[in-house]
Amino acid sequence: MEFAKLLVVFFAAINPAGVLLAMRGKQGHGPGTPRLTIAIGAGLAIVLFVLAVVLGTRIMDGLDLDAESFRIAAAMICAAVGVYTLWTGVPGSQAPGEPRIAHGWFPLGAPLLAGPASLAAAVSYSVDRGRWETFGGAVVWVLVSALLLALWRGRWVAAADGISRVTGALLIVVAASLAISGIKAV
Amino acid sequence: MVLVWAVGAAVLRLTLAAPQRCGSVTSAQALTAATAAVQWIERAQKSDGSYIYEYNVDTGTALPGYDAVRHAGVTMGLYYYAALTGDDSSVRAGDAGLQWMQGNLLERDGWAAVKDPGSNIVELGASALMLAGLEQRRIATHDLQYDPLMHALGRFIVLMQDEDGSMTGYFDADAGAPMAGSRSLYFTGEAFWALTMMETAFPGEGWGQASQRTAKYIATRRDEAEDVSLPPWSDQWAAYGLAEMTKWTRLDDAEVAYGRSLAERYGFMTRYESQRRDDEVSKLLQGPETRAAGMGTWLEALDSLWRISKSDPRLGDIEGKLAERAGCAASMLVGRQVTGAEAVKDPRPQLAEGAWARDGVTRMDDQQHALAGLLRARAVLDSKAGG
Repeated sequence: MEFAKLLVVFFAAINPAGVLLAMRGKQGHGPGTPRLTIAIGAGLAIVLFVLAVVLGTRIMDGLDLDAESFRIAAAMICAAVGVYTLWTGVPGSQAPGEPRIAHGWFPLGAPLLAGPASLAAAVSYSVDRGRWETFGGAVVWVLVSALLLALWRGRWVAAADGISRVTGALLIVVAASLAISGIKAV
Repeated sequence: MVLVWAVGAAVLRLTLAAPQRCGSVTSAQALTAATAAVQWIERAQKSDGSYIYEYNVDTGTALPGYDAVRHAGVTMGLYYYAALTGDDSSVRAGDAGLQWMQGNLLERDGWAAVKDPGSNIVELGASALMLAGLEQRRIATHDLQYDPLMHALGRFIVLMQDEDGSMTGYFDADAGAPMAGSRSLYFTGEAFWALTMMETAFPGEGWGQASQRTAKYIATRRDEAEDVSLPPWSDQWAAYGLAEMTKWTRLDDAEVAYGRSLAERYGFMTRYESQRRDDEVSKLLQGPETRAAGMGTWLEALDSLWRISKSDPRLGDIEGKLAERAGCAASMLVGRQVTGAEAVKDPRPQLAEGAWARDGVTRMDDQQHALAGLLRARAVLDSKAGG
């Protein structure tokens, strides 16, 4: 049950449909994203998530924040990303043109697969729910997103856009839940 | 996009994610601060037993106004100090405050209530806190001379209690009757706590049943019945009362759930307060620092709930967090008290030292709640120090 909750949180925070649209770029393009680009992006995201869950407590200590207060801050970040996604259909920076290898680092690795919302959630949940369970919840959607990106050929854009915006709305709900749990915590 | 996120992160850091600053404080430092507060109250006491109500430490001027409920609370604080420390030096000032209340007693049909001089509307809270003070005096001195008065005050509280445990807040002395339907969110908790202590002092006389009726009302109905907009009402008196009840009964599940909701409320307020600073930016973004009369009540509540959590496994999971928050609130209070060195620059240093002032102004209950919270928190601080 707890892991299922984490899966919902990271589905909303990573937003696979939004990742597809963002990598398609503003103009859209024909061929799919190169495999190496996807591998670099997924690899970078996984490294960032490992760092987030391993260093979660230290990050909070460094910020002089309790886990409960960090939840509220993380909620604000998630809410901002959720609103942005709902408004634009994409969760962050878009690929500037035809996919290149360098796009694996930016924007795919960060901030699309490992973005402000998903990393803030990873830090927060790693302290509250455990490091590796949290990491597992995130990495599932990194891999799913990578797989979809490898298979996607730019079709059903309208459907992806709709799914991405709904996922943005879900992220706002996740943010509200996170904020309430931070406010209601001792 | 990166710039947007950088600005967003900076705003977050200045507001909701501002660093929490909880220093460390020892039990001895808490006692020293509480003692300084008691000494402030003693210095602020007038010849008739009343106290300087509100005082501007920067200008050295006393501000007008008085309130019998706060008078009773401050007097209770003096007795509380003696009861919790074993140092009865504050009893003398407490007795002077008690005399003032005795001079303003309304006695009828076997009950007694204290009222503001010049007013014929009797506030339940003053009598409840007078009774609470006498209960502390009894613990501190083992002097039983006021037992009849305690019972008379207790009977007034029961007179003001409705069948469902709610409390009528005001009594009309001219009409000779409680003002039906009048309510005070403060008085109910004060009366509840006083009744619970009556059961501890005089078991088997029925005070426990009266307490439990009000406990049930507070825990299950009050917030809705009295239109509390963001429940639960932050009621440290109720937390005191619940902790007192654990001395002679087991709390029911609704009372425990209510205690947990109070813990959540006070925990959040303490965390947020620890993010505030005494500078203009913080005042603008996070609001001004809470006055000691407020923070003291948080500490009183956190300590009371911590005591319950230690003995009741249903709240055992938050024992550590309650101790952490209580330690944080205690350290903030100690840090904000006017020290002797700081007071030297004020026009009347003797009325600045030991006080908690916000924007230069202190009110007598700032000292009362802060000292009570700090005295109670010593047990938490000792437990933290002991690991």
